[in-house]
Amino acid sequence: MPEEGIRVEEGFPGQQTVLCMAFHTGVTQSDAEFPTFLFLDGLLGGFPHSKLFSVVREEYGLAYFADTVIDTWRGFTIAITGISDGEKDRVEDLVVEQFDAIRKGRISDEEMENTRAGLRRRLMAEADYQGSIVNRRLNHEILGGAQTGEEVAERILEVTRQDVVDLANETELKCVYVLRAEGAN
Amino acid sequence: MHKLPTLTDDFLKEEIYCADICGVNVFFLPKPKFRRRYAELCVNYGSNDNVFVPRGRAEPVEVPAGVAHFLEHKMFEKPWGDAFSAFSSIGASANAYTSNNYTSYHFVTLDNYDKGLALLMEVVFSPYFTEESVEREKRIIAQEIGMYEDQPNWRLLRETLARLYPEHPVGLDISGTYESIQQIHKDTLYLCHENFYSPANCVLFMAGDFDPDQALNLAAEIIGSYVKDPGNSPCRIRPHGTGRVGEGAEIMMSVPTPLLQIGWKDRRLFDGRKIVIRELACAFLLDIMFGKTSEFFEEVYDQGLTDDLIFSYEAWPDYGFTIVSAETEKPEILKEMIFEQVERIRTRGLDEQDFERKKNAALGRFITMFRSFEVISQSQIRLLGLGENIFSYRSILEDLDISDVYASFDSLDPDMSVSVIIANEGVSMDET
Repeated sequence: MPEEGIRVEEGFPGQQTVLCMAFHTGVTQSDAEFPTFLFLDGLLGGFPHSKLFSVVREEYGLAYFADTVIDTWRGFTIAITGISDGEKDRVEDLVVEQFDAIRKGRISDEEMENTRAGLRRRLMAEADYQGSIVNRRLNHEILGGAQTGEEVAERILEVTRQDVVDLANETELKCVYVLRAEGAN
Repeated sequence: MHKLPTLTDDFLKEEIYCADICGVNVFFLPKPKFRRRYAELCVNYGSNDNVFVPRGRAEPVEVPAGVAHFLEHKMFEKPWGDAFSAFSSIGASANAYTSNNYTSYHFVTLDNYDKGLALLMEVVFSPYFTEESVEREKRIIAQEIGMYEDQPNWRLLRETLARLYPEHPVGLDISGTYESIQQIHKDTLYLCHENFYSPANCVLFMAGDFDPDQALNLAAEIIGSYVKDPGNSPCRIRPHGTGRVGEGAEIMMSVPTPLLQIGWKDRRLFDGRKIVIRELACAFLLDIMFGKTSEFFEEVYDQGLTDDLIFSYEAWPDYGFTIVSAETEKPEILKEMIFEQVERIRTRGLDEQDFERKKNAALGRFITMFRSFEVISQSQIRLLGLGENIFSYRSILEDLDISDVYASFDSLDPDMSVSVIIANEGVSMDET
């Protein structure tokens, strides 16, 4: 992690250590690269086929949940995973490894197309929910950017691997926060 | 395919097409203009099914706690790879969950519905387990158990049910324990799959913008290619959950405010339509006594005892229980007040206007259910098991009488109750 990054560790009496790693893209929903940002977040941890789920959970069996939370107002994709305390360093390395894989373009065609299809589904399905329609319009009024899910879905169709690689290389790991379980079985 | 009469509701202008396909009960809800297309395959098998007589044997077996949930996890792993990824590659999103009485597998998609349906059948009806993948899943589920252990509300409910039901599997954790999951092997999974995942024990619910004949014909074609034989009904062994309750407890956890939960075991058991009536009547009773518009809530709120009371009642043929919970700085005081309120209303009786208001609110909520495929699906599947359906539910609700609510007071017998408090170390429990 770069020197300016923040690292915080706290403890609590519990079973499971939770690791949060905040990657800052600097892209918000009013920016032209917004669809690429959604793509980056999806590839990293937005779907069961994503790097975090398929590696941290399925391949290594180290977590039940390993995914990302996206903050489209501040431009963050935050990896979050629940693990046993003894594995925290190993999992932190694994998460950084997955992000570096994206930076280096180690993204298969299957990963690209599965992410594209999944994002398109979520965005097009917004029209089925009044709440989602209202939310999208409200965000547009405040921050600009797309007015409907369909608009974003159309642009998702055009995102390329190179777009994602370029954005990943401009993204910085800004903070690592670990809530350490004390007294786990 | 054997078509069954279509369910209709003239008031809502909704209809559900029904069929029996190779033993599977199939429902289709047309939803024109919606983009999402949904399918849920529900197996009538849950964490409560830990004792059964396997096919071809004479004696019951007991499997470790957590098998139904473990099985749900492993059904997505196939010889060719991971089914979640296969759903992703057709643009679909799949998920599953295990509850006390059901295991549900479902997906949502915009396109490729036929491929999704075929994949769903393969997930549910083609088991594939290896010792290696079972061992790996134990680590994943151990993390899941840990995640729930750290959630105070989850812990609260688990403790209450364990103490209410020392004799019935609803007192067990759905995911099992760290120890119980170690006892699960691939043979256990194959045994349970063989006995419970038969087509006759499954329901398929589909919803989306399709022509009804198109939808049912598609289901017939796809189910037909995966299922030859409806299979047998499982031989479940379930105790009646009406025995004496255990002791209450105070549990130490790191929480900002203490949590209080009171559970009441229902002495009486019901079946079919009477379960629906009992659940509605108890829900009304709880809402009248503890809801946001009750005098009781206003009083506890003004006294600063709590800002929210959560309550529910659920019933199955073999057990029924009520839960009331709250976050409060004074758990012992609030607990006494809750018991007193039950007795006060039992003595004083119910206000007819309160009852009418609750009924109108419930009808309003029923109507809004119809925007959610998932809620309609889960309700219809459950009601099917009770010999009812989502539209007869509306009639039962409309016909509910205040006498039904009076009759539900006996679900709140103080001798059948258990209280659980979760608080930080050092918080005094004996405040008066």
